Amino acid sequence: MTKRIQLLSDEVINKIAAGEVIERPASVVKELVENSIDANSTEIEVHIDNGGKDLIQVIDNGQGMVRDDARLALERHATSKITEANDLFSIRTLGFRGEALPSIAAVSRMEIKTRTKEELGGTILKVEGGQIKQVKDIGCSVGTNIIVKDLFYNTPVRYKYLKTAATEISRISDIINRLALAYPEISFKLTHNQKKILESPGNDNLLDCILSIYGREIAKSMIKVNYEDKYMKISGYVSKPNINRASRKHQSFFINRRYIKSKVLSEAIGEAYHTLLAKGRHPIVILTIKLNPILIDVNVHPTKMEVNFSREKEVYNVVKDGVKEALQNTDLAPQVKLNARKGSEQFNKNKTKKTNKESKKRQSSKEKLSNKRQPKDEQQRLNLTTGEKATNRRNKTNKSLSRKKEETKSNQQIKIQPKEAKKESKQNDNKDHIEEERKEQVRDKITQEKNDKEHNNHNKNINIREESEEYDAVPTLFPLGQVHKTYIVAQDEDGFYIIDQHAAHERILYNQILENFESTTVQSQPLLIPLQLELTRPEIEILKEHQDNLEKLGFDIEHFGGQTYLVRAVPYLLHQLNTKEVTLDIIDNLLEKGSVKEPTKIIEDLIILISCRSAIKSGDKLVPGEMEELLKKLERTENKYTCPHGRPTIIHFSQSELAKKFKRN
Amino acid sequence: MQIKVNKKELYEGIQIVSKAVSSKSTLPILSGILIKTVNDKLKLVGTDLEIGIECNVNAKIISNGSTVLPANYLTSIIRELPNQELELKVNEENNAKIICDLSEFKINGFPADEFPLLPEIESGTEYLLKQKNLKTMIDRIKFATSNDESRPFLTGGLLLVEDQLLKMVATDSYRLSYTELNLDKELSDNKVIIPSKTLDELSKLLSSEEEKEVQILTTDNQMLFDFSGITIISRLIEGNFPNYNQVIPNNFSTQVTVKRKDLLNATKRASLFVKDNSNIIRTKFEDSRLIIESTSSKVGESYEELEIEQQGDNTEIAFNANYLMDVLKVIDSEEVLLELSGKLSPGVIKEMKSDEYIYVIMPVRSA
Repeated sequence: MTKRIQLLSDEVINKIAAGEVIERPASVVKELVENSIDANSTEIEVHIDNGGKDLIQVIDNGQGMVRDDARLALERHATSKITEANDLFSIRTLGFRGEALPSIAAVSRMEIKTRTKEELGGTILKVEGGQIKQVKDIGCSVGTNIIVKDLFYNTPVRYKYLKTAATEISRISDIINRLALAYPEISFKLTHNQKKILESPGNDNLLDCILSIYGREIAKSMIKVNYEDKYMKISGYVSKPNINRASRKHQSFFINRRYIKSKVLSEAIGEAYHTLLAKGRHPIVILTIKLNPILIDVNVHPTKMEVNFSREKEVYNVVKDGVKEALQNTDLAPQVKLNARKGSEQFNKNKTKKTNKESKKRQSSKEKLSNKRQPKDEQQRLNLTTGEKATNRRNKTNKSLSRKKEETKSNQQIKIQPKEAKKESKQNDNKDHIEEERKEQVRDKITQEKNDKEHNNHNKNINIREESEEYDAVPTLFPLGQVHKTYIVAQDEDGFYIIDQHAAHERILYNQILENFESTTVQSQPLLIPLQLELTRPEIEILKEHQDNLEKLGFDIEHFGGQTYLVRAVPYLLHQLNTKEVTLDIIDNLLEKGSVKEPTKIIEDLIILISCRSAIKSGDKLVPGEMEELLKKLERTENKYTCPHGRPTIIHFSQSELAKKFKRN
Repeated sequence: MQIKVNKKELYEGIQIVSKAVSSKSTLPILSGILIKTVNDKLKLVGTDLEIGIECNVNAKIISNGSTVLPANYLTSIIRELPNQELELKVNEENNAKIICDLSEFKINGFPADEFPLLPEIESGTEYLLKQKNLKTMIDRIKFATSNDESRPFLTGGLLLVEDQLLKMVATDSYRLSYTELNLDKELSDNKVIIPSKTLDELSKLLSSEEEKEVQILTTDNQMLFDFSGITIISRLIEGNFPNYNQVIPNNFSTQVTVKRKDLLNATKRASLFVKDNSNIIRTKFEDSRLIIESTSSKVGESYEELEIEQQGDNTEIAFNANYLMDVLKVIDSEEVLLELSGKLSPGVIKEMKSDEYIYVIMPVRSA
């Protein structure tokens, strides 16, 4: 037998390793720019063509390399940044594994021009697919100038998976923005197809840097954070609660100036803003944390984004307290109006926090309860619909006193059941295919559905139809009261129900709006006073990409110069809401999902958003009349058992279940 | 402190200042009303720090003093008391005693010196107006203010003094309401944005009687209204109000005169079917007929025809019915003037033969 296991050739090894570090143009940019930063550059220029597929060029004015070093840098695990394993625990540079340059070289055509201060002439190296093709003298300025062309030319599969130029450049711009925020003393310049995207001042003023990235409006409403305890120091800016976004994408954390992702930190921020922001809203955060490298472990993954803290709790507390303190201090400032209100919220915070937690706990246990119960209930209800139970009950009832009453009651029930059964079985189906169902709804004309339903009814029995109409007119669910201003408790012949008022209203509105949307053409409400949006680069790119779809929805968005966009018209559906926030949410949402969505999906998201925003909230007090109305509407709504987000709206305890609970027999 | 006061007068005063008492504040003292003897009157003050209302009530002062009493209890007690003279005694610990006939109530109050002082406004632009005029102007614009907190400058009404004119403007960017009043005297230019809550309270408290006047005093961030024994001090909204002149169209291609009541009633009827969802009505101007239609896929359709005087082109345009009804409710004249320029351009509604009130409404565009 021949030998089957063989050592891989260097070329293959390099390609595999490259795949690990270099995923897309943005990773190339990240590695190269980080090298430039480690080389003490004060000015870094990045030029990109066609989303980095054709050209990535990074020019810095850093230390540069002598010829031998440059040659060695292309060897795997060659680095100037650490020399022994112990150094790993006190890394202060961005790169250290010595993988970046050879990995990039392995999958592209690369050209390195570099010169140190001491040398008179520079060196040029040309590399193709990891093979050094040429090493020559060349005249060039101090620093390093790296050109990466034809990325992934020798790994076609990777090339195929690159996204559109707009997506790629928005990722690149994300990375440069973050580096610029981490290094305000370095001037960063980013161009795409010769067009300037970012130019940070490099004057070591973080706020100026924020201004160059996020625009004036946001820079103006940032709060400075500066906080220190014995282990660490945090500094940076957080946004006032009135400036907030639907995703955490705009939260940047830097530990010892390295951009990192950390759940612990995000949670600490969430806690600091607790009660100041609505659920699902996040502030814009740029926070630098300086601590002893011994306290954290950064050697986690080659892309080096996830970080472990050896003292997680301390880090959490410092960040939370620091941001909280900054928020509180700002509130005391005599800038009145909004702040006075904020201050009082802060004041109340500890109280509400507690109750919130409690209610959350309660809610989750309730949800568990419902999840266990519901299927059973439905089963029971289905059984019930055959009329068996009603007759059973009648047989069991020996007391002649209530006999007559009982009879009419069960008669009533029997009348009701056919409709109930239909609804239930439909509901079951729906549960399995909620996704498809919803998509279908968007596409299908609802009127057609209606016709179908009518048709069915007709086929079955005219009597049933009459009775079901009667049933519709009289609300069978009778509200008993409200719990925690969040849930409605109601009853009918078969036990009692707990209804989440927000989820229920959301479902009703969703169906209503969808129906309305389906039955009419797209309506757009032009604005007398256009809405001014200041967007970040990635937001602009995603906006451009989706402009057609947004127009189909009724938006009219126009470039006003620089990073400012004017919204001249909004979808008519949106016009009652806080349009600015909603528009930013939509862009954020697109940004989050990244990929191109079908217009129908966007519309659906939008309708969910609108119904969520317009629905009554938990905490709204309802009078009996309102509850009755809500339940009446809910009963006539399709898919009434879940809200558009998929959360349950109704929890049901059947009479028999109650009896069982109380050990009645 | 000890005073005697007529129940009815005290109750009226309390009701007036209660409007400014904050209902949700975490500063407990703001849920109270400051009661203070000043000369031979009783001064009542309520504030939520955004707006403050002061009101003077006639009273027999037996001994001077001041205290802060919780607004909700005070209001309900005084309301239920018989309509006769009552006595209020407050001791050093701010325990108040209300005695009326044979009823006696003790309420625990707050020390008066903890109550925030309303800012003293000393100098600023000052002028006198007829209360009725100011009330009319406020009523004509306040419904058009926005509740979009992300653009605070739209959440109030602009008040502008220039060229001997007093102008007020409000917009939520779907419609804009503009009204002006000739002052007949030279005043220094002045431009402020008044919060909509203040506009609401002013509208409720200003008298419609012909002769009564209101004194207005404006500084950079505060505004004071002094009328009929009531003083309202309001914080102003910061920011730049958009240039409303650009928004008001100068030309039109269709001009229509229509009976206000008829148009209002027709619009109301047309909106019945659609008010739960879109509330869009379509209007067509064809050869001196106005056709108003609405369609709801769920409920049905409506169709109305009105006779109008028409000059210019035939046209059609779709509106949110509410925006149309809002304006028709505040105009007094029997007929209104509509100026339109096709279905994509803003429409203008005016009183007949007057440019004192201009309402601009954005159409809804159907793709």
